[in-house]
Amino acid sequence: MRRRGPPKVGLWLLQRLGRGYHSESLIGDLIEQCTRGQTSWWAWREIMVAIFIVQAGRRQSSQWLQVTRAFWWCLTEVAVMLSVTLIADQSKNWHTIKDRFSPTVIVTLMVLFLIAFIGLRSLILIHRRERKRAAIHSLMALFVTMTLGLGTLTWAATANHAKGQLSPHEQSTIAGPPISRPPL
Amino acid sequence: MRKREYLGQLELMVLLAAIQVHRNAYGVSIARAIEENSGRAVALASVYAALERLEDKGLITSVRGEPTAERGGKARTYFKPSPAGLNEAREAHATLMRLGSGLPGLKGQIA
Repeated sequence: MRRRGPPKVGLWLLQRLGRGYHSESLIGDLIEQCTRGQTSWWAWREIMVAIFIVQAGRRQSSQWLQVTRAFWWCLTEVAVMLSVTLIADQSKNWHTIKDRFSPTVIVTLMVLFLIAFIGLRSLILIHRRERKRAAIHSLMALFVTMTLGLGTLTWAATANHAKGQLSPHEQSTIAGPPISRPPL
Repeated sequence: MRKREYLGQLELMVLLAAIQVHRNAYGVSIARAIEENSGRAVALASVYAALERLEDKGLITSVRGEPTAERGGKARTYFKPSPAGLNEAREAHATLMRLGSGLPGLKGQIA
């Protein structure tokens, strides 16, 4: 006796075009129902509906996710780059510890870091929603941000020493009090 | 705290059907329960799409069964409402009852 089953072409199409979260279970259900007497028309209808739902959902979801991902990515990038630029720019004028911790710089940096953090967090959530190796992506993003931040801070800290720029106070400390020479 | 979302009609029907079928709740049995209670056929893919949305909302959990030869080596996925799902179904049912009770045109038609 010939064993009944769903159309093979239909299953092939479903595997190629209708691959979703529960597509394996759906294929199993189709096979089970066809062996229990459902017609191939019924199977074709189910296959077409499944492909339509997956394709429609994928298109809608990918467009929305692409826009939000681009927005958060731009925001994070701008915040990180502004932080780097601010630190680099300010490092030229930093002569004392007091200069480094001026309220304006600290508040601006905190706001920028907050924006970068929110952007990063949103990107991680989007990746999780897409179920695309969320942990790897978030770790990579964190690593890049930390490397950029630490690299900039290290460069800023060593820049003054390399240039030999010292504050008037530091210069006077090293050189000692000015020596008054007697007139010749 | 997660923002509470309203359930769509199919989502609510799928959730209630999963509660009704209880232990043997998988795609076909849920679709059959909906068909028997509503009198309308529902596509399996629509049921799975609704189940996926319910899972995303944390209202239902899934567990894979054993693959069988009858299903071409594919495993069944069994669905079970979470405590939040049971609570959501209870609240949605109570809301519908309250809304329907004030309408004279629906009197005697809602059990």
